[in-house]
Amino acid sequence: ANALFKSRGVELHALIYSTPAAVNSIHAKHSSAYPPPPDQNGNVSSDDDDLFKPKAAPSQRPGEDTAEALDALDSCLALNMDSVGEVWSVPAAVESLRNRFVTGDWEAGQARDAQNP
Amino acid sequence: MLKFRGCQHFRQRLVAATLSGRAIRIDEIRSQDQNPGLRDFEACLLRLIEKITNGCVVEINETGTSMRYRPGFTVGGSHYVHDCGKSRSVGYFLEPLLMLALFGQKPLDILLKGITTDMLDPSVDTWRTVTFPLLRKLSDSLDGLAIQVLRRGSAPKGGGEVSVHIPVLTAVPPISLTEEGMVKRIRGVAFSTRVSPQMCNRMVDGARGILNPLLADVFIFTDHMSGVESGLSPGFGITLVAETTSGQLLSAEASVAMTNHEHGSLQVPEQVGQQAAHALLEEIHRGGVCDSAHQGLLLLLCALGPKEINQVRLGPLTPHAVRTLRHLRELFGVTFNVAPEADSHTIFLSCIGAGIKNISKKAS
Repeated sequence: ANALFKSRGVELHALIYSTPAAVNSIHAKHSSAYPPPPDQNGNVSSDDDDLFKPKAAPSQRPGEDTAEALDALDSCLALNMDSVGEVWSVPAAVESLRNRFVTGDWEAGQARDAQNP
Repeated sequence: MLKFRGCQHFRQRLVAATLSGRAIRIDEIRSQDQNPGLRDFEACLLRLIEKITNGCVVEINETGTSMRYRPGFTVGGSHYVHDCGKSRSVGYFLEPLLMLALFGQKPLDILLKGITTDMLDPSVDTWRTVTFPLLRKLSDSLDGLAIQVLRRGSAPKGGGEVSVHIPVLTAVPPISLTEEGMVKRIRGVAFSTRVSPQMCNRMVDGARGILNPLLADVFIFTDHMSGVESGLSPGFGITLVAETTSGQLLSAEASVAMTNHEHGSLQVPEQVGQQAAHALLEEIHRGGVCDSAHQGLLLLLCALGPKEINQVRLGPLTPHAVRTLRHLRELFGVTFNVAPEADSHTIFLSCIGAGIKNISKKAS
């Protein structure tokens, strides 16, 4: 799932659209986002010990936000402040952004703007 | 009727259902949670939608784990007041409200009460300094888009008041935003409620310490509110906005409220300022014409746009943006062409819009 959020990869389109948002769109193959349907007796799980345990889907682990989580938090803010703080507290990392500012190399900035796949 | 599962992307499902005029059904809403069903803020959002629209039907089962939504049309008008509760901030409600009101019959004037800043949704300062300017830039008919912070309210008790004016739109104009530009200035707002006014200055110092080595043009306003304007709970926070040479706006924010203190994450104002500055650097590093929080909004506008090429350049997609793309395909039949740009690690997304028009307005 991490590949979804990387800018690399020719299969990005397929990764994004491989999971349908609506149940209507699920065809023969069940995607990972949706659990398998109940069997003929209506049991999803055959293990009786699990009956009284609250089930958490694998994608709903605390602190993990994936596009597949059925009950994911509805929020458009995505940055993990802890990891961001670690990365940008290094002076060298901050300096690597110099060309994104007008105080840096303008030619590098214009070349970046001109890039088009 | 389109069927969905889970509570993910709840607001966007309701918005897209309303704008596309399609009924939806959502099952298994937190069905495996210890506290199953819709949360109070989701019910509050449904009440808000019922308030500003005409003819919508919401049916929820006894446990709140299933709901059916048959959309109406947005009426708009003035003198609306809505209490957003204390679970989510005003920003949570503004996102769907904005899109619904843009396609309404009349301009909407509404007073929203509640928490004005938390770390779950964009703060009112982000709405005022980034989201609304972005929309005003897209269309001249959105010049009247305005938000005024009358009172600030921090979590947990809130007490903030925000007045919002949203004009109507005939149709979304074509969008072509691919030029990032270089960061030429950084502006920001540091606020504090029911704490010392000195907190604002300390947050500004923290942020400037990180940003000034890269850029001298950093100006952060301080907004200390006192008395009834400061809401019911102590808190402070800062919103930073980087403006590029091509006019794009990237925002980042950090805030502290008493709820955070209870969990042992007490932060001093300098740390909050530094946190916001680090987040802004991350947004600049990610690239694209907007920050990670606005990816979903831009993609939605592209999908609603005219039946011609609409293109945006974004940084690495957030989970929220990926969910948006999937839902836009289901509800509007719009599939984006995704073209990653390897050197800058940005993604060019283009689509043929669905050509959604405001049914209450005559096409000009």
